[in-house]
Amino acid sequence: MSEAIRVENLNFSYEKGVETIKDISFSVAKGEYVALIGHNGSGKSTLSKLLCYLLPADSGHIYIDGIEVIEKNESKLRKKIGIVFQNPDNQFIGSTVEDDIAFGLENRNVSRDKMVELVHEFAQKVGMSKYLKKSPDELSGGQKQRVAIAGILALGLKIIIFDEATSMLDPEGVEDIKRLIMEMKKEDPELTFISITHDIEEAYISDRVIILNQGNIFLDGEPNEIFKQEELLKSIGLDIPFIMKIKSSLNKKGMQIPDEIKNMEELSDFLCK
Amino acid sequence: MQITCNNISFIYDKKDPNHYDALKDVSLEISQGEFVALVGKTGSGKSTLVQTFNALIKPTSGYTKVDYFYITSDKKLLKAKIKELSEEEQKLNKKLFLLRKKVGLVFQFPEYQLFSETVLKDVMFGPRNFNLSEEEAKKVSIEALNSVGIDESYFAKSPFELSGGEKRRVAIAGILASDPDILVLDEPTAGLDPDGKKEIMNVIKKVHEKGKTIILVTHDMDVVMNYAKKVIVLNDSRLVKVTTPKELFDSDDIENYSLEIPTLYKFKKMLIKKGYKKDLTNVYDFDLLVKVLGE
Amino acid sequence: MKNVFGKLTPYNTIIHRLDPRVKMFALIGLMVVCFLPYGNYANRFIILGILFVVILVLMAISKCSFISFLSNLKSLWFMMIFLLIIFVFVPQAGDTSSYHPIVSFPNGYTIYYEGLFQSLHVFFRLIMMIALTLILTSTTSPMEMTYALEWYLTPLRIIKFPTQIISMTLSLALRFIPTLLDEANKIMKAQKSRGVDYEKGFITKKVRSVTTLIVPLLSSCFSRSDELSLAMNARGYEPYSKRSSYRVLKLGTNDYVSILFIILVIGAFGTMCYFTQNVAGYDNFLYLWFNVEAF
Repeated sequence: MSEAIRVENLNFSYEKGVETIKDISFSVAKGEYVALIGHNGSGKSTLSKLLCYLLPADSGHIYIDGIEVIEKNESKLRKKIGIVFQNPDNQFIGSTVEDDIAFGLENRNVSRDKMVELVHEFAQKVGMSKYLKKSPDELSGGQKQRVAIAGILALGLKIIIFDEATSMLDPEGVEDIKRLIMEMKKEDPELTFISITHDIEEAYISDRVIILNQGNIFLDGEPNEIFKQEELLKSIGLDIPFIMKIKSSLNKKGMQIPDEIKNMEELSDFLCK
Repeated sequence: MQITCNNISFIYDKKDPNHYDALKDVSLEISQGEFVALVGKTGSGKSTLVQTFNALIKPTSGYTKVDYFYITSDKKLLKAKIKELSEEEQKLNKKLFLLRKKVGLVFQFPEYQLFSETVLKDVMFGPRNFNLSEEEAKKVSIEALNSVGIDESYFAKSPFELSGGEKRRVAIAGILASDPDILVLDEPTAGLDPDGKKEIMNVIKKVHEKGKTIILVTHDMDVVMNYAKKVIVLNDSRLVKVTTPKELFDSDDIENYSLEIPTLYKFKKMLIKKGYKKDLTNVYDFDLLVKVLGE
Repeated sequence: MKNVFGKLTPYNTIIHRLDPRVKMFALIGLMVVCFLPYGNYANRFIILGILFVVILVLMAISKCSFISFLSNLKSLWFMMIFLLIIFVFVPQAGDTSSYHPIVSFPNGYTIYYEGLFQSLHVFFRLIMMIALTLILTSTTSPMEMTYALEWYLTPLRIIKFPTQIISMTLSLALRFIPTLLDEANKIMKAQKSRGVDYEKGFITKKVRSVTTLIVPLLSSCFSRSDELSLAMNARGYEPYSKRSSYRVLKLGTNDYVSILFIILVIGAFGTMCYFTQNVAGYDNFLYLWFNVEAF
């Protein structure tokens, strides 16, 4: 499988002398679902902005689907990568749901007939086709985020960054968006997700976890492997998922919980045997 | 100080043809020193209810009573109720700012209320409005800032230079400085990272230990589980349950109110359902769960 | 600012369905008709009366609420009194030899009928303008108006006037008005909880109160616009490149009929204007109405 994102020796600082991103290198394969976690101020959001060329890097290279992230490629990049921000209100640009989904298409000068078709198709896909004429103040936070996702999918983008997209939503909204991400992934295995999140349980269901700490990559690997390192994670103040916590506690008590057990369903089955 | 809601209802904008009841016949009592969580899904009326506690919203029928303050927009009822008070209290009843000093209300994303040039001045703003002298206000504000973990080096900074979590703590200090007997917080942990959440909840816990009443509006069931002693559940503008966190999470009807179940309880329920051999009914915390499972 | 010009009503009348460009054209056309000179006062009142009937019919067709019309007028009382003072009580300048006095005081100060009529005339025009604007705003969404405006500005593109940017700015402003009003409301509630009283107090205190609202509101505006511009950028918005438009305005049969109707109305009133210019002698008729001896 080819690479969706490739980052080489990336550096960035807002102020001179205070490095926000320090010499980061990694790559993400197409179709991967990567959770990017770390503290506020660890550089996660900055990294996401660098990837989308909303900020120019100080040094180093970023390639999105083979295209280098530099000024002259900006319009090409907009056809590859999209981002869903934290605040649902501040990224709702159109006056109604349909206008907002169409916004990116208008920017690309898509013909009107094609736009109508795409708007309806993707509103349907995120379950918003009943609300096409609604204005943002009539929608819940979760619904607004769905619209933002539809806007990205309508552009045919295959790489999507979620920059704490669920952190301002109520639990219903959070579940809603998580479910939608899983559905999208199932439907189109080519889609690559980078999810910046504080939600450890969400990170646990991803394909891969990258932990940032003070502008560096602290850990990078499969969630099951990463969250085994309880002490190391605690040292930078990160929690581990419930299932990992209980597995490790039980193992300490002398029980032998097999490694393959990855969720509560499986663990309860094992314990009830 | 006692809070009593007597059959309160609230209708937003009666003239609007699509008006709806934000609260319907809610009655409840909260005594001094309680730690209460108010839960329910978005739009269930939680925020409206707490705003009646300091008269930002007046019930369209029924009344909320805080100490000797009667809060209602039903004028007949108000007159009748005020008559029952002593003469002294009758006079004070009109002074809303006295009520607002007693009931401190911290809104969701309180960092948006900061406006002064410096952190200290902003915190002093509340006490000054409640008629404290400059010096007294300064003293209580410094205390409040210390209690939320903001040290002296921040006092002269502009509140707009702070990080999100710091701003929120300063905003909470702005309410604490007025030394309210009742502290109401609407989603104080929303949008914070796990560390920030813990810090804020520790501040609230400390305030509660001083004997203040805490009323917490929240979606975060882990917070409810770990801190609250009493839970009030609202659903579709009605009060449906007053109970303890343990009972609420153990009960089967919790899903009817679209509330999240804390993972611990989810796991416990799953085990019980699958017929786990040992008795789990009295397991309410992680360590106990591990102990029972590990034996 | 409480709905000064009303807000979109949830009906679907023929006027609601008309193309916004046609409605805007009609508004401007009818306003011009309002302001044409129709000779002496008698003619003016009769012809404007006819026009007023036309406007009332339009209001009825568009199901425009008469109550909201009256409540809009209510706020004009001050204006009416002001006009009366200006035109009636302030001594008339210039040649008053042909004017008709109502009362004359011994010191030479005179109140004339002409002054009274003048103020009534201006007021009448004003009422009609409000009625017309109300019809437009209650049948047309702000967005539709932006599209219409953009269309009317199109010719300016020839001189490199950035019409697309102007209309994008306008539509973003309209999009965020409800969001910001909501936010202002929240901030005010938060500050009230800190003891601010937005209604009472002296000027200095009021200025202080307003700062507690404006500063946080501005700061949030800036951070919102920051995020908004990032979001627009990420979605490929480039102000100067060619964009297609999801909204396409298309004229239907009803629109053409309406244009024809409006042109006919303008023509009819224009003709009346032409023929009333030099007709004299009707003044007496009005004075008789007011029970004054004939001149």
